[in-house]
Amino acid sequence: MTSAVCLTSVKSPKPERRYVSIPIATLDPSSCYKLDLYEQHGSEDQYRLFRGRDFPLTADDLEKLRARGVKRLYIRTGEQQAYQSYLRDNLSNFIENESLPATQRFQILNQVTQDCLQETFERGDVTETVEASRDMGRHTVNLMSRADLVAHDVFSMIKHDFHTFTHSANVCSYSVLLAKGIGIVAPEQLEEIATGALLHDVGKIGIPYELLTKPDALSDEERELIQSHPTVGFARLCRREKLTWGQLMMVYQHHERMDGKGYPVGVKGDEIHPWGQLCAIVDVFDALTSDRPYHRGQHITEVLAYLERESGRGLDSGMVKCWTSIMSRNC
Amino acid sequence: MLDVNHVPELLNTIPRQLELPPPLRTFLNKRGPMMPVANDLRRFPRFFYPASALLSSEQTLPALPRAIGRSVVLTKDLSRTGIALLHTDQFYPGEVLKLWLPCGEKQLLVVRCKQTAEACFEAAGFFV
Repeated sequence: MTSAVCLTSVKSPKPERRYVSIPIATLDPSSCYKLDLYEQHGSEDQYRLFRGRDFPLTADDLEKLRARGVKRLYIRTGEQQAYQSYLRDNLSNFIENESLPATQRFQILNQVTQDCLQETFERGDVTETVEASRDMGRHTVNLMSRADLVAHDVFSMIKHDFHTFTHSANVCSYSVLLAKGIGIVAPEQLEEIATGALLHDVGKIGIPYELLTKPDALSDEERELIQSHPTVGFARLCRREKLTWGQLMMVYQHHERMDGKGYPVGVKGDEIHPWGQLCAIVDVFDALTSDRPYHRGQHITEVLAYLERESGRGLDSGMVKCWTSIMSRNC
Repeated sequence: MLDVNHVPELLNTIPRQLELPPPLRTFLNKRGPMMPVANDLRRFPRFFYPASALLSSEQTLPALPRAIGRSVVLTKDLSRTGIALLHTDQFYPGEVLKLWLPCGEKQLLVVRCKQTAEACFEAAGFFV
């Protein structure tokens, strides 16, 4: 983790905790009036109301908090949803707020994206997932174009756990980086790629969580079920007018390999859509650098070495070269 | 529209470009019910069904441009609810195809497709 604010605790509180911390950088006095904000007081478990709905936060309050070196306030755990919906509603403001460091804006966006995906994935609502993904994809491209984030910042700020929604958010950021690296500059195309990346594992909705995180070897039946996710995802999305063929191919072909040894179809070479090839590389990269129940995340240099070995076999050599160059810069 | 009187003639056409991989060649001589495979959850048994059929395709997915066309396919196996067929082109889950089989006309919703050789895709789906 860098010095940027860590938002992890907002989404993953310990069950017994009654309050969760939120960074004051995410508070906009004009729009966070629906939240009761608490300040830690004395020992670790003591909190007192700092500003309530009836007496909302002001810009002056924020200044004073910053002057005192306070970086976090707290909300009741029951208000997390309200906070997340506030964050989502105000995301554009945060992203465009040049006074916040780019890394911090990225972290807020990444957290909101994960929250959004988690909510829609858990509800199993594909329409909402598509809408949220389009929204988040647009924000991601907007921020990454504005703030000119370097790959190292992106890599060090994202979470490396094994949740599908975390992985999808990571693959989204990486896809935009790689797409820009291979010369895609049109914002509309980058947004399409970002959205496609957020949706690439949508077929995992419905696969039991225990199976997705099973640390032991999978039976043939279990493997078959997990390997059905590109087909299931494609089938769920293929009738939607707003999605392009390239986006659908990111969903359907991100496990295909250039040598034909992938799934679900086993197509090879240029039968795989370039966006499918792109998604495959960043998908593998994130999967191997992240902690999973069945393996520990590997160091970035090991993963880049693995991609090099796969280059020209399973993965497109030009794109791997580009990705290696992007990730090696500043690392 | 297809003139149904010509279907029997058309069905005598062999899909020339179809490249059958060796493991699939044996099914051409097989008839009768297929052995269920492990973890088979099918409700109805499948039968070997090597026959030529006429396939009509058109754009049924918004993002997939598919020219209206007809071609001959080789059917592989058949059940009460679906069919597997071999074709030179790849089909995608969710596509709807029209089939003229020796046993009649059917509409097929593609659920899966696998490449089995350079110019051979095995697609399977449900009758709708």
